[in-house]
Amino acid sequence: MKIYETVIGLEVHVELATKSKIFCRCSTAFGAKPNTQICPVCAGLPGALPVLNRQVVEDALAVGLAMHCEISEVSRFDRKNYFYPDNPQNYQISQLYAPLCRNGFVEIETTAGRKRIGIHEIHMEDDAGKHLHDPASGLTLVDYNRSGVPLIEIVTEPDFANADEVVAFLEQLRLMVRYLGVSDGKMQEGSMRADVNLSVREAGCEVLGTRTEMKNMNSFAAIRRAVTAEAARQIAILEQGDVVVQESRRWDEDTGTSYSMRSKEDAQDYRYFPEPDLPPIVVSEEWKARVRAALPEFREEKRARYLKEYEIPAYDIEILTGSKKLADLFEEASALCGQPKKVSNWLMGETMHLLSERGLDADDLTFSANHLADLIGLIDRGEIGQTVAKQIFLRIFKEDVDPVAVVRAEGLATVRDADKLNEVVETILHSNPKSVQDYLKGKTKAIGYLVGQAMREMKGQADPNVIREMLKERLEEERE
Amino acid sequence: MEKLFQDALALSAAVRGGEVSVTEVVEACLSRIEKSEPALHGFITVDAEGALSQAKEMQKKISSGEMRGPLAGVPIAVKDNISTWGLRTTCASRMLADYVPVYDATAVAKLRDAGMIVIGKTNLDEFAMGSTTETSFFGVMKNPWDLSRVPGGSSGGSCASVAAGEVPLALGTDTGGSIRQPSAFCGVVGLKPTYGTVSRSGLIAYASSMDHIGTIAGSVRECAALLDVIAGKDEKDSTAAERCKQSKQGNAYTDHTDNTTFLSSTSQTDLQGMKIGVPQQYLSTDVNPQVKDAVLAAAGALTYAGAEVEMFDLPMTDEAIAAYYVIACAEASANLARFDGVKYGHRAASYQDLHEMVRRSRSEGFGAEVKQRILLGTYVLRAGFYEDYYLKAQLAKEQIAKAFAEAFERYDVILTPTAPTTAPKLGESLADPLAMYLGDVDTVAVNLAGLPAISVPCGLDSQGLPIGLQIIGNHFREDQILRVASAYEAIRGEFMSPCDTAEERPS
Amino acid sequence: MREEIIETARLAQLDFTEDELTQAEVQLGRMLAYVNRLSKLPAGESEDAPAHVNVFREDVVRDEGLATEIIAGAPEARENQFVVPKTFANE
Repeated sequence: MKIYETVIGLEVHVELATKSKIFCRCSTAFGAKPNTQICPVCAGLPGALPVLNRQVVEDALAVGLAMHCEISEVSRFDRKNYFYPDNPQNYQISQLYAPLCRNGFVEIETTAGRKRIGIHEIHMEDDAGKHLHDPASGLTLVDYNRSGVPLIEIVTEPDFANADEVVAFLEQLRLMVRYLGVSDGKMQEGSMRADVNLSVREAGCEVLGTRTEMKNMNSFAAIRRAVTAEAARQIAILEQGDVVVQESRRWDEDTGTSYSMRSKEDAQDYRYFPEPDLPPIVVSEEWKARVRAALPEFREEKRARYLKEYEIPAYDIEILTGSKKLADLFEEASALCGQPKKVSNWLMGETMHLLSERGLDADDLTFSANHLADLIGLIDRGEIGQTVAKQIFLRIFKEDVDPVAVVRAEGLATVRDADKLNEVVETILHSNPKSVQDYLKGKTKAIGYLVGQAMREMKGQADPNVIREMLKERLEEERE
Repeated sequence: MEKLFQDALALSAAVRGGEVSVTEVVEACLSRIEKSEPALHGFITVDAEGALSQAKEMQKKISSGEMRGPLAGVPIAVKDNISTWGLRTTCASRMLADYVPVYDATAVAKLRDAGMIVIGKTNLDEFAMGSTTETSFFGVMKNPWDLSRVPGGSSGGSCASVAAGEVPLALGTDTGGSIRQPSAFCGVVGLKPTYGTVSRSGLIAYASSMDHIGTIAGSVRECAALLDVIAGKDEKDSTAAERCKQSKQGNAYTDHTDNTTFLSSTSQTDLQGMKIGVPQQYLSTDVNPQVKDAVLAAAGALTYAGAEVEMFDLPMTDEAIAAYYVIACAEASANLARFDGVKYGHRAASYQDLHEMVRRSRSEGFGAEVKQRILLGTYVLRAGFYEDYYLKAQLAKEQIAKAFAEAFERYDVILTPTAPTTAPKLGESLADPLAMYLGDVDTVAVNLAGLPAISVPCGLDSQGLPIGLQIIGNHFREDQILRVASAYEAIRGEFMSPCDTAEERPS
Repeated sequence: MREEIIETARLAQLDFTEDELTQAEVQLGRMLAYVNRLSKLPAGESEDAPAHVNVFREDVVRDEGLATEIIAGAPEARENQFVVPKTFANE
């Protein structure tokens, strides 16, 4: 049995989260009624001309610099010509001859250690509209709301050897674009799409095998399955002495197989030529420096720094650095209250629980670090107990309330007034004679029940240890 | 009224002075059009209703003093490849026979802001591809000087309608000579400004890197005044030039936003110290000898005004047409790809599937010349041919620009014939397309280099057909060409129109 | 040559009749022969730095209010969407 190795390259499209489209001022907001976010430019009306959104260039530069790319001194747009109804001009404005970024790299963590993945180039382009096939009428309906949404395409070198590496890269890319705030990188929602170029060859062979292009994987899991299946399919073909056909294939998640995309009309010749309606882009050293300086600390560096600076477990660090929002909250709150472990516990525990309950993402968090820090301070000083703290935290999570103000205004502080407490102790002892008898007979555990009752009576605003002591004292008095 | 129609600036002054109302002017214009149209066929759409209603509006603004511009109240014809909101814009094609734009071209919006009245849309070669206005889906146009001849193209309608006195002013477009050549054939003045001077937003694109909107009128002054109205940077057009910077040659130049108007350049008629170059390649044996003589006579006249004129060698003239057609057709093939029956325009009546619908709609919608140019353009962009044709053409374009730049280091303006012949007979040109393309030899290089140029009538040939003199300037130096053109006009004196009133026109 | 033209016409989504194809062959042939004079120019890209560069607009949304008119101009529309016939190889 021969040994084969797999060679994989990726073409990843990332939808940028700018407010307006790449070449016109239409909104990119999701969920609008069909053809309500269109104008002469993105609907391809005669005479309409594109005008470039500066933010798209800024975002693309940020991604390029974060991936250690060279930025082309002069970069241009090109027309990619092909006929398809979701493409209103029947050409896409992309970059072929002079893309914005080239020759970068990203380092991923694999089971075998760190691996460098080459980035061939990154370029900007406009997205197409959407078409929906309506089986009932046999017609296709076209909506141009998404036409003109800005995309960056990241093309890697064929440096991946297996599905794990591909997924590791995509997860890192997703995190990177979220850290940068340029995209939410959600495969399921289509803001990140990956096409897989895969070929196989006998181990040690220097020549690359024939590759196929696979599309339509909508999750990391689907990509993993598709890569595995395609490598196997190609190996099986070669084993039989047959030849792999160069083609585009479509992954079907339901059946776990791919099929050849019946070519609509044979090969496409895109006839790229420079876009005459858009002047070239020249990125000065100052511009590059400014973008570079504004790059956030990414996950890898943050993780390394946390390991050194904070005494919290590596597992906690993984989770906290998994979202820039979460990491920022952690750092800020820790700086304010000086208790990183406690901050981490609140974020990893209650916060995660509430997020998952509501089907939300860490990036959706809206409460402020100082309120969390204040809450921890209140607990530390014994001003409130755990139960009350949890209740207040829920309100911080939902409405970002100021815990100090709330405790004061609603009188939620733990009661320390001896008279008040005595009152409650008396009440509890009187209303629970059986437990009292049980205790006096020797069931010391019965005091737990009484403590619980007292705490309930106090709505949690008491220190259970103090209550326990007071109850014990009174019970012992009873004994005599 | 007759006299007024001969000078748009005087016409506007009369309107603003209360001597005549806007409505009267528009009505006079409409009746002139009505009389001439059956013979001429210069208009695809005449918007009588719209024009009269615009006239009422404009009159209010003029009477109140709100509208005071030098061309307020003047009716104007707009070439039918320039979008006019709510008014059919066809590009003389079956593809857009019923297309009504939902927005105004920026140039048109500026016309309205200046108080001008859009009277109608003029005939052109289909999608501006042609030199005779014979490829129009809406019927062939005639030259008012001789109805058996073409008016030139592609802005034939705009030029002929001004020549025939139907309208005092018109907007045209020029990609390879389409304003200048028909202006020459029709005996009117046609001005193509520096690339990027007038916004292309709303101009239905033929060749994006060489399309220009320009002005057509009976005199240089009127052309300049009209350019003042429509010129200017536009946020909707990324190629609209920033005129506030130094040109490559380091000359100071006119920035019309800066209180210096194009119109002001037409008052200086002394050419003392001006150096004029005449490239010998443009006066070669292919040029009609009467045209050649007229141009040389004009050059002589200019020395009378104080200029120094000499012949010189302008290289790269040979490659200009080849480069032009490769680039223009390549860009056109992509610009016209949007016409597929999906969003607007002609859609085939029957088809089995999407691809058939697209192919039928396009094949039915486009005329033969358009299909030919799309074919050529698609071909030269194909993998395997791109380097040989398109890239070489771009290289030639650059070298042509360089050749002109070097010439402008020695000369202030360059003088040539606008066309190697006078107006050909109807039907003559389409028989041999390549020969027809070669007729653009005097004008295309200017588009490749993006330079400003103006055509001014300089005589009649033995058959009584007008001859055009072309004056080419350096980038952003409209002031120079306007100055020379005005000086020439002053020396030449009145140039007759085909007939002074519509009644005298041969039909 | 004819094969080339048929393929080019397919890329341009244009139908030509047999007669038109013959005519196109002649025309295109002549044009290509004419533009071939460009081949004597040396190969290579231009070294000129472009003059007009970096034209941008800010990332601000503006609704031109033309969406309704645009869809109203469709040859065929349904539920505010442009209608096209099915491609025979649907994706």
